[in-house]
Amino acid sequence: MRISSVLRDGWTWAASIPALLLILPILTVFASLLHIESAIWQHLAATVLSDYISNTVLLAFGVGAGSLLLGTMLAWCTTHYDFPLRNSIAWLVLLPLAVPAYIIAYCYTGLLDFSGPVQTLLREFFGWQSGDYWFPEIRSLGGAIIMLSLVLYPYVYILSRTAFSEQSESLLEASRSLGRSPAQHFFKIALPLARPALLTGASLAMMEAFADYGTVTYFGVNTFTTGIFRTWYGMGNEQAAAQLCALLVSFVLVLILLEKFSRRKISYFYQGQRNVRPKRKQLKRLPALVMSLLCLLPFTFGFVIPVIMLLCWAIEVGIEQVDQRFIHLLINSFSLAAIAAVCVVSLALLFGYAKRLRKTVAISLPIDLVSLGYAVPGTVIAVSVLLTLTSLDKKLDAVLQHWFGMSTGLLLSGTLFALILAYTVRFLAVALHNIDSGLGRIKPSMDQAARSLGANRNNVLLRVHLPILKASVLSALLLVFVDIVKELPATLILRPFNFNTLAVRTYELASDERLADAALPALAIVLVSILPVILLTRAIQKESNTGAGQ
Amino acid sequence: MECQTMLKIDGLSLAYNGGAVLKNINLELEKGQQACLIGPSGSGKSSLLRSIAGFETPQSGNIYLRDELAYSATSSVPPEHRKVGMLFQDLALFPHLTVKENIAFGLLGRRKKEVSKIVNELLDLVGLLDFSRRYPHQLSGGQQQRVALARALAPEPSLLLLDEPFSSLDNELRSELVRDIYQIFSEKEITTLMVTHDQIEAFSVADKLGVLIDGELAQWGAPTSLYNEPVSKAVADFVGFSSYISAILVDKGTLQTALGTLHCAPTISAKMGDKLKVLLRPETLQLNDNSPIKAKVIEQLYRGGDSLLTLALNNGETFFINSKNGDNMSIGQTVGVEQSSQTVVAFN
Repeated sequence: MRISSVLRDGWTWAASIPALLLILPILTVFASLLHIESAIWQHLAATVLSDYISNTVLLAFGVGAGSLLLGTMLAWCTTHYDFPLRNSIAWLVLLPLAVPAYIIAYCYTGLLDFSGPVQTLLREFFGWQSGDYWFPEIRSLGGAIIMLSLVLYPYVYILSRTAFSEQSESLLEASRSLGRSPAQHFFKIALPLARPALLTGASLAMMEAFADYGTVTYFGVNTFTTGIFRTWYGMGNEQAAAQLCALLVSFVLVLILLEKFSRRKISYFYQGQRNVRPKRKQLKRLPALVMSLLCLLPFTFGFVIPVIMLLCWAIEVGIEQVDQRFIHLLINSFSLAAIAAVCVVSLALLFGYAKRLRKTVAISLPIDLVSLGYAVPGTVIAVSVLLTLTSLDKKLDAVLQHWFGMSTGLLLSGTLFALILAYTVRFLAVALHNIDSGLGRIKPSMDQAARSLGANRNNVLLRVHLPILKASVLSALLLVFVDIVKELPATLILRPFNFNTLAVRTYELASDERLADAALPALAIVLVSILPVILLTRAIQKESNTGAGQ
Repeated sequence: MECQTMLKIDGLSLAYNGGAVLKNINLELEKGQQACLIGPSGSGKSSLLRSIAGFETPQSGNIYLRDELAYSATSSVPPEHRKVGMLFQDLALFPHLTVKENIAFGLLGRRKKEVSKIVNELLDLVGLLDFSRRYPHQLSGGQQQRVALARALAPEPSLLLLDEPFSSLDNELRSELVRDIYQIFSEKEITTLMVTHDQIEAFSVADKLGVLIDGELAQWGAPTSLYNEPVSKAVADFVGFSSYISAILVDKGTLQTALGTLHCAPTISAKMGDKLKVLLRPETLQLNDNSPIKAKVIEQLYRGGDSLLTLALNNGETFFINSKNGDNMSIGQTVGVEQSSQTVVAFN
């Protein structure tokens, strides 16, 4: 299309204007770099900045390595070996995805603390006193790495599982016939072939690690996210906080670029071979049992133990906890998540259709940029939304004051609008991914087939698009809904005064060392989060079933 | 009187982003005729079908369906009102509908009884009565083709367009399915226009055959005339095997060549003494040891029933020839050869 016709096109405006508005907050953060106050930065550099950088980088790479190790091992075992409970394990290992990192951190702190059951038992058993023995400190950088890895490894598992099961059996046969052992095949062929998938999974886990606020703040580890909070609230310096945000986003951008770079050769890796699904090797009894137990470990530590811990606490404080206030919390969380999910998915539908109908850069570029929001930590999004909206609010207030003599106060930044905007920036990519794959299943020829069979445009939407898209829209709604229920830092910063959600309440109670009281809202979050995991499980089982049918 | 001309295209031209895709296309199809379009990939075959169905907006020209204007530069009937059926390359079956529902898709607004009667007749016709409740992904490739066909036929289109619908099938299944489907077309007097890249398929089913080259309809006619009397070297090269030897026009319709004196149509637009190229089809040449014209075997391709030989004349010119007993040949052997066809085609 020529530029003039692009400018006259309704879809271009309808899609690119909201997309550009959604990019605005992040641009505000980078704009803050234009006014650097050297005094503050000298102070930061002299005191905490090196901690922020080293802890953040160590955390991200530690979590990347940890999830690679767990995820790859599980994926290889479940795709290439047969052992007891293999079918159940294949989806059980996904369940840790339902436990937010800050909640698993609370659980293990309660479990492994000085006064927790493990240390108490050790003391009673051996008759030790305080200070007699060494016990690993869970509230540390290492602890945070383990906590995050335990709940984030499923990202690597899901992607590498697909990659491994797409590797043709003939590849293994070829390396065996060329004199390589199965282990050599794994390291020389299978692993390098799956590399793009493995790195994508690891980089997703690393982005979550960059974004984490709840775990590191509870463990007292100084990272960028805790630093941003401290600079904003403690030092009251918005500019410096925004500049720290910009620095953190730069780290994430480097990660994204590295990931894109590693995928450069993905087409080279997936040549059009006729796929014969890998045959699973039947193990002897003892090794099979060992493998079952080994594969159950991540699930046990990442899901079973924390959930049991939460249940124990919930029982301890009793049913009285389920009171008016808790119900109110549920209603707040769920209605906010539902409203925001509908907004996010509606926008995703608009963007999805715009991309489908008009393949121009004017549409795809702003949408692609907004989609990068999934990689931006919630803390950063919250700070940027707040900065943008407060300055808008001030201008709005001044204008209305001048012309109508009325004050609007914090019309945008002090209301749910700010939260919904932040959620949209952060979770649009999740929804768009689902909508895109749904729209991808409606081939252009289906529209044409329907038209040539006598259906007009509206009929095509109603009789072809709607039924095919329904499942994608529902799963997008569910995923975004749950992500919002779990979201902590942005909600913490942007919620209107006195507006509490499950995540915020869990965080507050845990910060006050009232872990047992935090168990009930935490359990509610975990229970809701299991829903999308079930959805994922079904998708994976469907995939392996069709695989078995071949 | 029932209208006989189902499709008429007048001077149709189409361009995307300034690049011409179709140039001044003219063709006509009578009721019950089976037509095929062949041509190199990118020659505009699919664009022509899509223009007829109403999915493209040509810059100029007219399209008439059943003698009614369906498209002109100033008016366009929307696809859903053209009564043109289409079979797509990727079939475009609706994945959320069963076989039965797919076939009934185009029967909106009819009474339930009528719909199920039509659907059952079509299921019977394509041999899928037992599969009516299945979903497309539960069917084999060939079965999916049959569903797509039944779906396209359900609203009784006056013209059926086929955009390489069989290209995803393997050869054996394909020729059987094509035979079955064209049986149905001729029984029901359905007018069809198919784009295919399989020439054998095109020659075996078509009453009318068109060759599109670079957006131009280079030739449009009966398959035999296309093969034996191609209007241009481009058509001759595209259709079947072709080789050429040089010739000089010595008299009206008389050519002097290294294979002796040959005859061409006297209407040829060439002057006396012009150098021309004579088209040789491999099966119009014969080996004959008594022939005074000798050639050397330089290559042989055994093809099961026969062999395709490449022969070289003394002057260095090479050409193809079909040989029944090609297996007896050895490279370098000298053979006698003669042109059996009385008239040949020559190009400038």
